[in-house]
Amino acid sequence: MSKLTDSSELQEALGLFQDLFEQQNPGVSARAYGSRQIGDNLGLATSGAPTPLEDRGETDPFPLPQATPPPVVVDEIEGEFRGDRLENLLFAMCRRGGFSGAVVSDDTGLPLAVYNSPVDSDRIAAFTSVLGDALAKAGDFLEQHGAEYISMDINHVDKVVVRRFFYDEMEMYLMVLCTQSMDERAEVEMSIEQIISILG
Amino acid sequence: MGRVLTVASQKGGVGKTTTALNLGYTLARLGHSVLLVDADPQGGMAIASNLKKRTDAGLVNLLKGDAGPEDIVVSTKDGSMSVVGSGVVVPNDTVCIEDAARDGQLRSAIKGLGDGFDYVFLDAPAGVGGIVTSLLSVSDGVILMLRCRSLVLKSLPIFLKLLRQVRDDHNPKLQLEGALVTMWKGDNELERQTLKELTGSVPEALFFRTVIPEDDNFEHASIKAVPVILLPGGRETARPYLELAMEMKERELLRGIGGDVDEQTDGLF
Repeated sequence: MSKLTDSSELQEALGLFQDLFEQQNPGVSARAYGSRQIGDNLGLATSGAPTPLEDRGETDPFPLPQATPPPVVVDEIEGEFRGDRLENLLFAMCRRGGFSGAVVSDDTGLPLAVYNSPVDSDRIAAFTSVLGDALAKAGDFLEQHGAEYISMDINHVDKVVVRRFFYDEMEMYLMVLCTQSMDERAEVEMSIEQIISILG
Repeated sequence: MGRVLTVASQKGGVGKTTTALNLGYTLARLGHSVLLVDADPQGGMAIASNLKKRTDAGLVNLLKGDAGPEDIVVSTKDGSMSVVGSGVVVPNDTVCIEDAARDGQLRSAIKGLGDGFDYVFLDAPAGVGGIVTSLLSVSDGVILMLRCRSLVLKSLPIFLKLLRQVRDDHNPKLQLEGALVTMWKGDNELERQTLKELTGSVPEALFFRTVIPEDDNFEHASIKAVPVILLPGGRETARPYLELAMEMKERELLRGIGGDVDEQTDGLF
C-alpha cells in the first residue's frame, strides 16, 4: 500500500526539513530534547523510552529522611536524557532529604524539572520568579550581593526554600518544599552541584 | 528587541491566530512582555481579541502615516500583553500592506513596534505572498502550523522553499522553530496514521511534542474574544499552550547550550 510519505510532495518536504531544521538546530536534537514523544500531552505516544518516575503517584509525598543517606553519583542517576535525569535527581534528593517536592527552573521561573509539585507549573513559575526577584533585589536594597538563599514559612508546618545558582552565566533556581524543622542546606547544596553536572 | 516569531502555514484554517493569541498570552502570564501583531489582512487577531472595542487603528494606519505606534499598540486590561491589529477596514487597505511589504516599510514598522518586548508574535496570512515573505525577513523564528491532513502536508514544499529562500537571501538568522500539530482529532485513526508516518520520516525534534487538540472551547473563546484560559472551565483546554510555552523555553535553553565542543571551549572556557 502506498504511503503518504511516498508522494513526491512529501519527499521534497522531508528534504527541505533536513536543511531548514536539523542543520540550524544542533542543540535541539531528539537526544538532547528528552524522551518525550509527540502527543505525550494527549497520551498519543505508544512506544519509546519509559516514562521517568512512573510510580510517582504511589510515592509518599512526605517521606521520612533516611538515617544514612547514600551519596549520589551523577553518572548513576537514571535516565537517558537530561530532563529525565533532572527529574530523577529531584526525586532522589527529596527521598534523601525528606523534602515533599522540588523544582528546578530557569531565570524566568519556568520549570525544567519538577518533582511532586503541590500546584500547577504556571503557578510554580510565577512563585519562583517572585522569590528569585526578591533575591536579586536583596543585592540592591541590603547591599548584600551574595544573597542566594531565601526561605519562607508558608504555613505553621512547611517552608519553601529557593536557592539561586548559576549555570553557564544563566541564573537558575532550585526550589524545595520541606518542614520548617528541617535543615535542608547540605542536601540542597549537594544537589545543585549535581544539577549543574547534568545540565553540562 | 526580543525574539520575533512568525506563526505561519501554507494553508488557512490551521489555528495560526488561535496559537498566536493563546501562546502569547501564556508567555505573558509567565512574566514575559509579549506583543501580538496581526499581519493578516483578514484581521483574525483583532476579532479574536475584540480589539475593535478599543481602537480601529492598526498596522495599516501606521504604514499610511495616519497613526503612531502609541496609537495602535493596545495593552490588555491586566497589562500583561499588547496587541496590534491589522487596521484593515476597506479592501484597499490590504493593497497598502502588500505595497509596504514590497518596499520594506512593513519590515521597518515591525522592527519599531517590537522594541522593548521579550516576544513578538506575528500572525501571518496563509500562503507564500509578499506579506509572509516580509514577515519572515524580520523574524528570528517560524512556528509552522500543521494539521494531519493530506492537502496541508502536500502543500508544505512551497512554503518550506520560501523559508529557505528568505533565510538564504535576506535573513540568515531565520530558524524553523518547530512544527506544531493543531486541531488534532484524537479519535480519527487516519490522522493517527498520518502523524505516525510523518514523524517517522522527519528530524525527530522537528515537531513540538505538544499537540493542540480540537476543542469546542477554542470556538467559545473566539466568540467571547478572549484567550481560552479566561473562559470559565477553559483552564484544561489551555494546558497544551502552557506545555508548548515550556517546550519553547526548553528549546531556547538547548540552543543556547548547543554547538560543538570547539565552539564551547572558545574564549574564557
